[in-house]
Amino acid sequence: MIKSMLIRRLAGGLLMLWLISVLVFVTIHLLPGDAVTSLLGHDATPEQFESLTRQLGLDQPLLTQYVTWIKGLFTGEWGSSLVSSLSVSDIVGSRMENTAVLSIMAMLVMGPLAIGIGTLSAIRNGRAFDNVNSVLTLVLSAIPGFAIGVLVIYFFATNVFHWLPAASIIDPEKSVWLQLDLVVAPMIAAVLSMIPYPIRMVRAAMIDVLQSDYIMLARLKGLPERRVIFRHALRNGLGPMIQALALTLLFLTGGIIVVETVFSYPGVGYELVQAVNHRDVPVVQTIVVLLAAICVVINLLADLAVAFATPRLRTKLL
Amino acid sequence: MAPPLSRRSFLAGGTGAIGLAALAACGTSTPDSSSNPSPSGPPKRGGTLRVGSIGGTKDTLDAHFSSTDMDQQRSQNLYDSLMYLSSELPYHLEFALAESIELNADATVATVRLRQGVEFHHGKTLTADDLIFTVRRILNPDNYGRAKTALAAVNPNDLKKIDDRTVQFNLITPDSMFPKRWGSATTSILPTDYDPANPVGTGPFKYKSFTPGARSVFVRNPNYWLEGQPYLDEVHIITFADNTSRTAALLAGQVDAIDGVDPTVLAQIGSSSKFETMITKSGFYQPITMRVDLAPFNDVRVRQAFRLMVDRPAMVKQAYSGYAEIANDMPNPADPAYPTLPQRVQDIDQAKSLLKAAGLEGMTVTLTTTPENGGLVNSAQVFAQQAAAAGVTVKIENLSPTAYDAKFKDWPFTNGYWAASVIGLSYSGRFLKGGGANDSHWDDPAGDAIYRDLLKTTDPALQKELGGKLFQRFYEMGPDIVHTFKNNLDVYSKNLTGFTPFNSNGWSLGAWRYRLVSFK
Repeated sequence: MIKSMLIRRLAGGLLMLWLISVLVFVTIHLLPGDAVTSLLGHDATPEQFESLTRQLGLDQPLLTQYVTWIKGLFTGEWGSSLVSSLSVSDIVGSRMENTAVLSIMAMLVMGPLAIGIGTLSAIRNGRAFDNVNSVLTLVLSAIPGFAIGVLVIYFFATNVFHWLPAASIIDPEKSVWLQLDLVVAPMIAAVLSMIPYPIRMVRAAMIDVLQSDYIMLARLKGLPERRVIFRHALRNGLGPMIQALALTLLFLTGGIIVVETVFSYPGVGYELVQAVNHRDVPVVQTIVVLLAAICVVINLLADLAVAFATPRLRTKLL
Repeated sequence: MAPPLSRRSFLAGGTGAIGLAALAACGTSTPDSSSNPSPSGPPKRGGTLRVGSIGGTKDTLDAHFSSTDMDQQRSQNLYDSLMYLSSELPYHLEFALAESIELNADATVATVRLRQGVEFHHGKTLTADDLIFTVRRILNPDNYGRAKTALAAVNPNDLKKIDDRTVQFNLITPDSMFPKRWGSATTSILPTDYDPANPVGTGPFKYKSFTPGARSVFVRNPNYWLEGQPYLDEVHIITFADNTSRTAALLAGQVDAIDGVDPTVLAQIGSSSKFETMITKSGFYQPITMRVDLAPFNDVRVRQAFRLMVDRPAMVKQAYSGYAEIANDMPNPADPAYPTLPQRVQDIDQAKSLLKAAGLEGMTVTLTTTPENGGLVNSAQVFAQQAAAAGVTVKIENLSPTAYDAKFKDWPFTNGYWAASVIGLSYSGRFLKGGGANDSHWDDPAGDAIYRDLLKTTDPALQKELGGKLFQRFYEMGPDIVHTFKNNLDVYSKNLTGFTPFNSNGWSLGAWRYRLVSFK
C-alpha cells in the first residue's frame, strides 16, 4: 500500500519537475535580452556579440541547448554559468548549503516557538495572553519581510544595540558552519516574518482538539491538566501542526529570498534573482528544478509524517 | 538589482584629446608619487582595506573582459596598462608601463617603449613579447576583448618587435589618440603565460582568492614598480546585493568604504563623525537622447525645443539632490577643446514657438529609462514634469536593465549614462556613423570628417580647434539633451587617507587606486 503510494507520488513529482523545467526554459527565453547582452552591455560591436554568442554556445538551436542541459542534469555534469567562470554545481552547491543552514536554524527556532505559543494561546483562548498574541501576530504578518529585516538590523546591529553583524558577508573560503554569527540576524528576521502563520495554525488546531469529546472525557476522568494537554491534546493536534510547519518550510524555501537580499546573505534565492537578471539560463533552470524537487520531497515527507502521527491513516497505509 | 553595466569601460578604453607634447611633458614624472595627500608625514604601512561594492556573479578577474565597475576596480589593482589616466584636470594621461609612446607626424606609426625592470607577480620581467601577446589577445577574433573598439586602428598582425622593450605599431588608419587608448583596465598588459585561473599582472596587489559575487582578496605586491607603494597589506573587495545592506555594513564597521552611493545614503549616515564623504565632480552625464533618424526628432527645431524645456537648476536639485553641475548640451567638459558658449536656459515660449513651427504643438512622446544608474529614472521624471509646461506630454517607460539593454539602440527617446572623456575618444563610439554606442543614430558626414582630421593630427593646437568644432555642432543641433553632469559620491572611514576625487572621468573612490590608500 505504502509502496505503491510512494511510487505514484514520486512519478508524479518527476513529471512535474520536467514540466517545470520546460516552463522555465521557455519563460526565460521569452524575456528580452540574453546573457550576451548582459555581459557586453551596449558598446560592443556586432563582431563582439557574434564571437561571445559562439563562445557561450548560444548559437545552437534552443532544443539542442535544452537537451544538453537536461542530459547533464542526469549525468551530474551541470555545465558552466554563462556569465561567470564558475560551474553551475559550484554556484548552486555553496548557495544551497548557505540557504539550508539558514532555513534549518530558522525552523529549529520557529517550530518549538510556534507550537509553544500556539498551544498556550489555545489554552488561554480569549484571555490576555491570547489577545496580545493575536495582535502581535497580526502586526507581524502585516509588516513586509524586508521591513522586518531592516528593523532587525536597526535594533541589533547598527543603531540601538551593536550585538550582531549588519550584513551576512560570508567568507566563501570558509565553511558557513564556522561563521554562524553571520546567520543569526537573518535567522531572526526569517523567524519573525514567517512565524505568525504556524502560530495561528497551531492555535486553531489546538482549540479544535481541546473542544473535542475525548478531552472532555480526560478532564472528567480527573486527569491533571498538564497530562491532558501533553498526552492527549498535543498528540492529537500533531497532524495539523506538522502540516502547518511543512507549509512554513515551503514558504521559507521561496520566501527567504527577501531576507537574503536585505542581509546580502549569499543564498540560493539571491543567486536566482541574479541569474534571471543576467539571463544565466543553466543556473536559473538548475536552481528552479532543485527548489521544486525540495518542495516535492517536503510535501511527501509531511504527508508521510502526518500519516504516521494519525493512527487512523497509519493503519490504512500499512 | 543588477550591477550597472559599465559603458565607462568602453569610454576609458577610448580616451581623450591632448597632444603628444602634453604626454611628453608629463612623461618623466612618476604617476601620483608626488601628489599623495598625506599632510602628516609618510603614509603608514599595513592594514586591510575592506570595500563594499554593488555587484553580482557577473564578475571576472580577467582584465580584458572587465564589464562592470567592480571588474574595473579589481583590475585597477591587479594590473597596469601602458598609461594611467590622471585624476586631475584637464583630462590627461601619465605613463605607467610605457616609458614613452611616440607617434609619427601623420599618426600612422606608433612606437611604444616599455619601462625597464618591471616584474609580473610571478617574477617574470615585462618585455615586448608581453605587449604583443596582450594586443593579440584583445583582438582575437574568436573571443574579442572589451577594448576591441578602442584598439580599432591596431593591426594585431602588423606589430614589429624592435628590441626587448620596444614595439612598433603600424596602424590601419591614423590614430592620434593612440597613447590615450591605454588608460583603461581593459587594455591591461598581461604576461605571455597568462592563466585566467591564477591571474598575474604587474599591479600593486597580487591575487589571493576570488569568488564571483562574493569577495576578492588581494595582497600587497612587494615588488611593485612604484617605489614604496602600496601601503596596505591586503585589499578585500566585498560584493553586496543591495544598498541597504551595504550601508548597514558600513555603519556596523564590517566594511571601511563604499563606492558610488545614492544621495539618500548620506542622510542615513547623517552627522556620524566616523565617516568622510568624497564628492567627485566630473563630466559624468546622463543625457536624454533623441533618435535623429526618426520623426519627430529628425527635425532639429524639435531637438532645440526639447533642450529649451529643461530647467537645469531645478534638475540639479530635484533629480540629483543637489549633487550635480549644470551642463550645456555638450559632453566632456574636461576636454581642453571644450568651448565656452552661452549657457542654455529654460525658455518655454521659444520652445513652444519652435514646436509650433514644426507643427507639433501639444505632442506626446515616450521616454524609455532604466534604473541601471542612480538618477536616470529621477531625471526622466523631472524632465517629464518640466516638459508639461511647454504643453508636451512625456510618458515614462521604466524597464529592467537587461530588457533595456536588449534593445539599447532601438529606443526613439531615452536616457543613458556615460563617463567623462575627451571628444577624440568618445566620438567614434557614440557619434560616428555605425558606432557601437551610437544610440541616437547620429549621422553627420561633416562632423565625421572633422573627427577624421582630428585623428590625423598630432598638433595639440589643431586638435583643440577641431575638437571645438565638433562640440559646436553638438551645441547647435546635437542629439543629446545634456542637462547636468552628475557628481559621484563615496563614503569611507575617517581612519583612511589617500583617496582623491577622480575628476577626470568621475569614477569612484579615487578610481579605486588603493595603492595610494593607507590607514592613519
